[in-house]
Amino acid sequence: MLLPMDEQQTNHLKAYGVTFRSLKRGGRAEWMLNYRGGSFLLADDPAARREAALDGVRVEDLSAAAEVQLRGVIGANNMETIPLEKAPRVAVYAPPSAAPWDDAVTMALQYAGIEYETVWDPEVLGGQLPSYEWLHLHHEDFTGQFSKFYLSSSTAPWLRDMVRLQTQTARALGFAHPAALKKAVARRIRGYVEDGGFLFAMCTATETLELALAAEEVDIAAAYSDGTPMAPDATTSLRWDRTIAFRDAVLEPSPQIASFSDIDGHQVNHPVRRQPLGAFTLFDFAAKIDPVPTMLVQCHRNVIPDFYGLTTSFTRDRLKRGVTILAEEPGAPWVKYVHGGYGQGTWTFLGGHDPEDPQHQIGDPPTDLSLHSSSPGYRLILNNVLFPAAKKRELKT
Amino acid sequence: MRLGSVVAMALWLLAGPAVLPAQEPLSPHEIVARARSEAGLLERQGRFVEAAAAYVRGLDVEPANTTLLMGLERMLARVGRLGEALPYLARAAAADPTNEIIHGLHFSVAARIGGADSAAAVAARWMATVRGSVMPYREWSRWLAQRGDTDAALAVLARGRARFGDVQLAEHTAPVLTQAGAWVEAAEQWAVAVAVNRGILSPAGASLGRAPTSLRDAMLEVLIDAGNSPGTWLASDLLLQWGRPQEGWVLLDRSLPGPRPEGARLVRRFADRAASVGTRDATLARGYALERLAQLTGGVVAEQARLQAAQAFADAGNLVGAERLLSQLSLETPAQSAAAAEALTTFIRVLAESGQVEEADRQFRRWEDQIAPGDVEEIREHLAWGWVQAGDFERAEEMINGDSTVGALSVQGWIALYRGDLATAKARLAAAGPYARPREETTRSASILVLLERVRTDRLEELGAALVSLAAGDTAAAVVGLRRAADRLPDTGGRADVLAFGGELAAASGDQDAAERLLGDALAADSAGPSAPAAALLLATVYTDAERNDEAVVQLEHLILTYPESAVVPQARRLLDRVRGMIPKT
Repeated sequence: MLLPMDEQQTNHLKAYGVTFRSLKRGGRAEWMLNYRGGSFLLADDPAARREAALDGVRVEDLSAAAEVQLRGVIGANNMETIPLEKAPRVAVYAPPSAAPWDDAVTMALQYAGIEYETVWDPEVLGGQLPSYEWLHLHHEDFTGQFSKFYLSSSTAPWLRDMVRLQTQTARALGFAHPAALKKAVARRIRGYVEDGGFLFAMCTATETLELALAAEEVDIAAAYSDGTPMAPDATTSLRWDRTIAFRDAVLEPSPQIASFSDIDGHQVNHPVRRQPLGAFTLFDFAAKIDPVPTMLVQCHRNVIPDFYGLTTSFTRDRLKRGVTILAEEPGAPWVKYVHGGYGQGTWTFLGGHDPEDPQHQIGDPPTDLSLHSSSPGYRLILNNVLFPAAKKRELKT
Repeated sequence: MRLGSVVAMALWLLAGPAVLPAQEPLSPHEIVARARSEAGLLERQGRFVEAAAAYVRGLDVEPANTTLLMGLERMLARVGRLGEALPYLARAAAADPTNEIIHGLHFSVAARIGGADSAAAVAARWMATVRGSVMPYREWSRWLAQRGDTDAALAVLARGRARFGDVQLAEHTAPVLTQAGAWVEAAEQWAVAVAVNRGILSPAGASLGRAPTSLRDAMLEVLIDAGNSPGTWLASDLLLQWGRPQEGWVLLDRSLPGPRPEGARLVRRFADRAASVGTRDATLARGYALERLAQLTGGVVAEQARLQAAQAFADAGNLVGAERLLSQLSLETPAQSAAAAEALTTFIRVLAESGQVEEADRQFRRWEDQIAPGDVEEIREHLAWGWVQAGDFERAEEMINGDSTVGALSVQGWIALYRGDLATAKARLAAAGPYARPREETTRSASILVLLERVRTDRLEELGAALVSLAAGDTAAAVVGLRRAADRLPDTGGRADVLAFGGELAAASGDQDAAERLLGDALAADSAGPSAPAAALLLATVYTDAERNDEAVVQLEHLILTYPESAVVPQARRLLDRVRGMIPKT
């Protein structure tokens, strides 16, 4: 059964779900990198066929002769086949009150029918992360400043609920305030990656996770969060040897501006520095030499319209050496999608909040993915979910 | 380049360095121009620190150059060193103490860097230096309000008002009061502000429109008692927004100014806003406003206003008003005017559709001679539909007798259908094609034609009777009638389709039990027929509405797997996603 992933595919996002569930049932699958948009080859299975029919996923029957021919094409071109072994156990770091529609990754997982569990601060600090192969960070603010909406949205019920929940959780876990709790959680997440976990983060979780790691001994939180203002020398006191992706960032000192640092290139909420949206281009990797980044950029479109988030993009100058750029806006001082290794594990960061809601505002209705079933931006997210399913041998780069 | 210039340049080049003049020092103007140019280039290249240095070079020559100052501020903000702009801004303020752009920039940077204390200090210096300006009060209060400190913002405004009076700061005080929830006080300030500047009526209305219901009457009282007409106009605008358009109109009408152009503008504005509200009451108020507009203006504008007023009255069901306006039109406008015909057509259509077909017929006969032949056909068609709805098929036929237009064919088709003559109905509706008027009629005809194609009999009075019930709005009777009609048909000869149609009607009317029975029977009668996928989808929807999700999932999966090529499959997949919680409920 070939699930083509080029323009012929009728539901790209659910094709990932069909593949994932087939692996979950113990089936065999291969990811044909760069072949027709990164197609999947599944062992013929009535359950998978039925699911594909129900989900509107296009399936092509492949004879033995056609398969031989296909492998010949792959061997002769910038393509590669990657065996997929086992469906990873997926965890999403999200507050217990979060609906699946709050976050692009949970929306994608939900729509594709990929099982996941949610974990939050008590589970992370309770040492549960090692039981998952893949961890996604919901758009959390790891600086503990409630996404810096505290002053601008002080009367909004959602903000009051968030503050109450975060503060109560911090106290229950023995921390003085959320900023201290989030630093401890960030360290656990770094440890998870170091020990071999796969981390995927989007939007502001990327930037704030790094800031929390760099600020282990520095107060970078506004007074409304921890009772004391940001340390005057906070920017110069940050320790970038403790982070995994970024370096040398300058913090945004104003508690009124919902921006954290100059890691984000677009600064959507900054009255002066906000940059307009463009489009980003996926990098064309050599599939046989770099299968990992190739997996992460499998898509039927090469150029994808950009989308805002509290952290939309990553300033080039703030990336550590050795970080792999997966997608960038050519000519712009920022990139969109980055990847790297840390210890025994890997991490991938994608800027922006929702690929199909480029100007997302708080309170906007959730995105209905049945109207965007071939979304190239959402495909990037799902590439990351299947990436840990690849045979371990293939993941070593 | 001209020949002389070419020769001169060649000679200059030949002479070479020996004749190069000593380099003249740059003038201050040239230094500033060069600094700006360099800074701009560096900024485009993303070299913000170097760009900032270039701006500083220019500022060393012209410390109060606002373009350079703004450039410096922009660059330093980019590199997170905005605080370094402060000495340059202070120097600029000292060099040109009356320049309020510099004070404004200084204030903005000081506030962003130093917070409330720095903002207060710079604002105080600005107030002391430019004593006659309200700008520092405006900027300071706006900054405080934006960071949520409305009390402090109001205190600053109070100081300004004590010094300059209410009028100059009213426009700025009102939104802060709104933010503080002091709606009645905000209304007072807006009344003062709009009296000075009528151009802000719209933002004032938008700002006050969100007031809580409990305070609205007090706010209206304040605006009306302010003793100026713009305050009353603002009250009128609010009444329109708050769902009391007729009161709004009465208020505006009472306070219209003497000069006609301004009065006409206000009335036109009210009429346009009423149109955007779109409720029946607002449409009626729009009619009154347009009628007044016709009185305030003359010529073509008045004629147009009268027509629009007639249309608004007709749409709102005020047929007396519509008739009054149309009577005036007949005296003043050419009878063949297309616009007049349009208004008359609307008028008669509304009469016919509202069940007053006798009156519509009377009006038609009264105006018939003055209406163009093409429009007469359309009106006749409306009247024919009116008679059909009234159940008087003979008079309907009489109205379109001899008419071979597609609209008339459609009416004839439906009359045949209501009489149970399915063969004639099919022929007439097919002949009318997709161009029958009105548009919704075309859709209805197409749907019924599909059903008729599947019913294998030429005559079925029960079906006609059921459709007559449906046309009369009695869905329950129509559903019973369709069941009766289905019982006269073989399973694959239309029975399943008529049952499915009945199920659709029952579901739409909220009778879920009847819908489930009818749709289930339709699928049992012919599970492979052309209407089966749609019936299965509808049945799944009935289950979903009843929160019987497991049954809905079974139904939907069966539909998708059994009829993969059906046009309803995408809809079924979407519903399946929703039932399974894969997409949000919308």
